[in-house]
Amino acid sequence: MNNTSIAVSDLAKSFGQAQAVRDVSFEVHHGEIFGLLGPNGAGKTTTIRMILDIYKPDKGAINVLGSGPMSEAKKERVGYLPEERGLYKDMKVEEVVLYLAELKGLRRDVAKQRADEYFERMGLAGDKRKKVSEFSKGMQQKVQIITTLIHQPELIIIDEPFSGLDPVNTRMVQDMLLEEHRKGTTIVMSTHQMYQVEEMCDRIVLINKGESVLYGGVNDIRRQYADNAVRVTAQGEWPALEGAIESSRKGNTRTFTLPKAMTSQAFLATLAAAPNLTVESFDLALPTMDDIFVKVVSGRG
Amino acid sequence: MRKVFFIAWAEFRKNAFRKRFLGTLLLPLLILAIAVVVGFITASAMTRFEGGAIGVVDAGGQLRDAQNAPDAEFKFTRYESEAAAKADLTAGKLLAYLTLAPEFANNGEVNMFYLRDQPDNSDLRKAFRQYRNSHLLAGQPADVVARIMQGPAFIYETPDAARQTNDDNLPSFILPIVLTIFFIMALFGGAQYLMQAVLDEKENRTMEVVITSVTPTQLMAGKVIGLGVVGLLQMGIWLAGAAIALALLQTRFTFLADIRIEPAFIAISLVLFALQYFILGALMAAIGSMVVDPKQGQNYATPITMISMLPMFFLVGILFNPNGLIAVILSLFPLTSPLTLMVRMGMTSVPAWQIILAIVLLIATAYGAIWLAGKIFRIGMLRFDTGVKWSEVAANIKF
Repeated sequence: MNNTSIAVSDLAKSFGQAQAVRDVSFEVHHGEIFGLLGPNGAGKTTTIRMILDIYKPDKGAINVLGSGPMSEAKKERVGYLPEERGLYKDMKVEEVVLYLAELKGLRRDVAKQRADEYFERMGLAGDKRKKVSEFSKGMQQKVQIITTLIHQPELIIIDEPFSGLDPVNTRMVQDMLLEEHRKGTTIVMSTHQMYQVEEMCDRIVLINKGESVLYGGVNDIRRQYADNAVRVTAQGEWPALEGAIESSRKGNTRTFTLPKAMTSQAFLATLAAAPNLTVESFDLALPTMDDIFVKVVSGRG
Repeated sequence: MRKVFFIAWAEFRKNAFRKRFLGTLLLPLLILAIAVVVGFITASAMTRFEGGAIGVVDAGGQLRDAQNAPDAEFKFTRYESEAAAKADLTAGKLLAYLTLAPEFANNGEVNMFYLRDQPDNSDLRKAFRQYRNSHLLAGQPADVVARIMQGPAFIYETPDAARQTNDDNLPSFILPIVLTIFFIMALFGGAQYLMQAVLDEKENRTMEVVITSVTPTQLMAGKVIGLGVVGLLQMGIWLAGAAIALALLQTRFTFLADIRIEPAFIAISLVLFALQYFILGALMAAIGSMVVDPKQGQNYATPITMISMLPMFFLVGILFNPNGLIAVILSLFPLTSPLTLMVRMGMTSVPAWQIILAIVLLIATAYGAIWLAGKIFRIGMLRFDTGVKWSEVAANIKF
């Protein structure tokens, strides 16, 4: 339990006739970046809202930051950036940041000092007395990030962190999350942008139709879904390769699916023995998270 | 609790230091100021008729024994011929002169002649009546004359002595109605602000972040308190303005001098309206969480506003029959009771049981409204795209 920031088991929640979450279980470890994946309407946001005590689950158990569900004291240790996020448009930027920081229990003088540091870092120092409505969307997103981080939460939960962001802001959010990760902050992000998951997440749970269908380390899952395939880049004359099925070719790189009996070492030995072929790289062709996602969600897993 | 007050303070600052609030605040004060100015202009136009010399052409001696009362504002002088009176009027020695018809003793017919402005008001007529009476009463003992001239003095009193008024402070009846209208404006203004404040959290998409920092109850409580204080401030400033306006007008209009408001009336009104504020505020905040834009909010709020305003539609009925069935029913129904009771308390003695029952019902309703608002709030707070229908609320409320 000590190593766990969030533990949910057998969660279920319905709204009237609609069953939003049927059976979701997972644990988020201390200090990791955890991905909450799933197609639209899978129940990701509902799960997050139950973790945050916005909704009461119909059944199941939730432990957040120690044993027991979310409490008022724990709320101050969590930074949350929902998918539907915004700022008070007719307030001054600085006032909004200070207000939300004080709601998180921060003293005003501390909040002011930290806010100024963030404004400086994000290049907003000169604009902090402007109204939010005068800010561009990108600038507002920076402010939202400040409000999420200013109370130095132990746990950050971000719903769709990259939705609607341009590449520059995507990178900014990504950098911010990685920096928090280096500080030891636990991060939960819900997304369906799979390449971000591969790049950033340690472990994931995939929720589909309200149920957790895939759960574990990103690399473990990719290996688990690999079907004995290798990717080879080589110069020269390829020999005839008995049993191996070439599944794709791109320039000098070819991907082969090997028969069950053939190990990748044996296949590499065959290639190395070919007289007119120079192998430049050889690795296991793991499926992308994207492939796995589509496979699982479309029921081909 | 600290966070509740923090939200309340933020809400207060946001609304009380806003131009829109200044506007709401200043408009009634402006109306009061205009009333004072108009009052003063009217008063200055009237002053010249508040007293003066009036000629009475009485060749036949129909009023030969008449006397001016020592403290009379209009002094009557008898003339033997109309020509003499006319000369004095032209010379500016008289405000007007009267000629008595030959049949004056039987029908009391009098003609009045004046130069430019008609010096006609009830005070002059009253003074002339007294002057004539002094003629008719000539020769009677002095104490009889004095009593007849003074006339009866009515004091209106209820059996429980809860109210006592006399002919001179009739305006005291009007004031509670005026105050009630002020209260209502502040109340609906406050409830409106509250709806908008909740809707703002949705429109700005700050709701979800805020309710993961504080509980929905803390958020609601903070807004209700903060905006309640704004409403009180508004009321306070209006009342102070009204008091100043009244004090100024009292210097010019003697009939306003006796206006006073019972402290009990103020105390009961404050209790009634605080409770009404909690009910309307809770309902309006709930509506704010149900809807997605102010227009939709107005649609949802209209039935509640209309029901609350029912006493205004029945005002005439309540005024003429303050203890009638309609008045009593409206006094007990929670949404209409504060308004109805205040109007009735200005008119009549309202039985204590009705006030107590109304307050009990208001407390129960306030409790229910806050409970309901909490439920609705949780259903509606994160619905950004479409509003919540009442049918949906009904289906999702678990008792």
